[in-house]
Amino acid sequence: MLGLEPWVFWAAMAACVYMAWNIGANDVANAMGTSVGSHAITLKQAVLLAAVFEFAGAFLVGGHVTDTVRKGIVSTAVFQGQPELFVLGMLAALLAAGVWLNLATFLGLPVSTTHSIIGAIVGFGLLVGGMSAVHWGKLGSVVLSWLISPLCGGLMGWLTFTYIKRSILNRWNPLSAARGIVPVLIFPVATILVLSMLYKGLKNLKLDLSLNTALMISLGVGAVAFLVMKIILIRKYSERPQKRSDAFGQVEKLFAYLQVGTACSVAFAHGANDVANAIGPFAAIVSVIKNGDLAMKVPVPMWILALGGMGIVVGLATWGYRVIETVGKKITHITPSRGFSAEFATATTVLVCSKMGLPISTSHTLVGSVIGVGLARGIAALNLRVILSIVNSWLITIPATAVVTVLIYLALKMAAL
Amino acid sequence: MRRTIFDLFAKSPFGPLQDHMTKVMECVRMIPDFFHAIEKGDTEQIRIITEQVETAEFQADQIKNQIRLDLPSTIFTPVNRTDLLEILSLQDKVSDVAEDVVVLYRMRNLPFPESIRELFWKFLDQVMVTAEQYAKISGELDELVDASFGGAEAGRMIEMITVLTEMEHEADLRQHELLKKLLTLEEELGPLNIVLWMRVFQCTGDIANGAEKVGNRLRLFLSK
Repeated sequence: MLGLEPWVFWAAMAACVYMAWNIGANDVANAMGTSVGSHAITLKQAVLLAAVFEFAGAFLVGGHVTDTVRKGIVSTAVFQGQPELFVLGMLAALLAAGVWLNLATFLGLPVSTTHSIIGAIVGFGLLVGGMSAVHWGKLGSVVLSWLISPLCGGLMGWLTFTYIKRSILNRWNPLSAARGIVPVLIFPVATILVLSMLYKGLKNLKLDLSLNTALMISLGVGAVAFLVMKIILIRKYSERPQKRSDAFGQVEKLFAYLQVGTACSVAFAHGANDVANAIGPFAAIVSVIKNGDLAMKVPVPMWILALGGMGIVVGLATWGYRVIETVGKKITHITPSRGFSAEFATATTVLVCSKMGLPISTSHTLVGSVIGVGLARGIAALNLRVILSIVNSWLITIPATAVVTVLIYLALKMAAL
Repeated sequence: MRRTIFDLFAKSPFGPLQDHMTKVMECVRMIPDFFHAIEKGDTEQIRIITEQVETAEFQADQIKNQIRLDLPSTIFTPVNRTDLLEILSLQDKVSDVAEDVVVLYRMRNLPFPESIRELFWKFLDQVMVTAEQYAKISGELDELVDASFGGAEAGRMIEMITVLTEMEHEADLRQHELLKKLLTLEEELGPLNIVLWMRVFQCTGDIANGAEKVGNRLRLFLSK
């Protein structure tokens, strides 16, 4: 097993699980906060849905982004002949990202796990391999996606809420308008969620569906969701409200159903994109140790995806649920129609980026989406100073994790070689 | 306190704006009781009401200051922040003039001649109707937020504001009638009392004027 001490493998696995735990403990709250805050779902339901869909997202779609993290940022060619250094570097990156996340949480900085891990990997790439070790083109497109994803979320959030406003909220009878539109809205939510699961998602289960088949099944599920929603409306909401002032409350209740769907989508999308932050470096390490070289042609092993997914779920169960509770209590001004718009925009953006293998920040996309809804005059008050603190922690995260990685790498090199 | 991306959601100013209006109306609704007490010559009651008006006005001020504190320029609202603060300050002026009515009257414990009472009550009733119409509009603000400031809900609000404007105009007419009557009483009241009564009428009328001004300012929420 290369020229490394055997504990390196176990240390890498521990670091990977620790990072996944971190994501489950802190990040999942960002994905689920809006749903709990708007009272669309209870804390228990949020934890349950998050556990199922985060795992599903990580296991089914997590491979695309993981591939980018494990071999897209740092060129393996530079390490030809000295794979040990690559292994230690990836381990250092994992540890550094974990340390930085804890430090940032302690300092109260809203940092992103994605930015931490990418900064860490670039740090070790530069130290060991020099300028030529980093795939600057790929890194450029990743950084560009960090700028584009919040903008894209914002645009989609704006469009979604503007549509809801025009077709429901601004009507003389919002409730009867909602009865017509709400089933139509569940259709794209269900279709996109199922399509992203099926198309290239079931490879791990040896069930590779063609785009056409996947599309047909997804549209079918969308149609079923449409019908189920119709039936719920006829059964539970057929009587007219007594007072006009109750109408908006009733409309929001209908949107709470939709928000269950978008909450699942956001959890799925988050699992699909963010699991890579934990398992990307570990998958790279496993591949090198197992094959003894840096080829990495084989896809990310299933057990690693499952390990990442489990780590997230454990983080959620041991710590994350408390963070969700705190966050949910803090946001009370968001109603289901607004929450739906922001989550739909976020889930769609993150899913598209995940399929493209782009590691983006789910939290920042959500911030963009919420601001989009705000610009459509949907939210009573937004504190724009948060954007400043997000940009600040961005600018600190990349160099900080790079430096911490370098330090850890040097220490590891002394211990493990 | 841990900072998260959810610090993005700031406190809504619209609920507190409605709370402020409720306090302002508390002041305004005491004005008829005040003049009833004057008619009865109940000095103890006059004193109590004066204190209550002053307390309510002070509390309205406190709500106003808190709203301003919670709305620094980094807060983004669905309506122009400057319009919102302007509405708050116009609303607050309504409680100021209500307090002025009470304070001015108490300066000299003015005599309340029988001959102007009927016209005065006609005038005050109309002022109260106008103020209540604005209170009703303010009560709809939360639905306007739900409806995202447009469409049918905005249309309803515009109708209510149009009615408000008509009510205020009627209050003006009644005020002129009352003033004419007052000026015939120069012999009986003396010039100083006449001037003070005129100021009292003016401040009372300003309650309706103020309500109408806020209402029309509120249109700015809707036009965009």
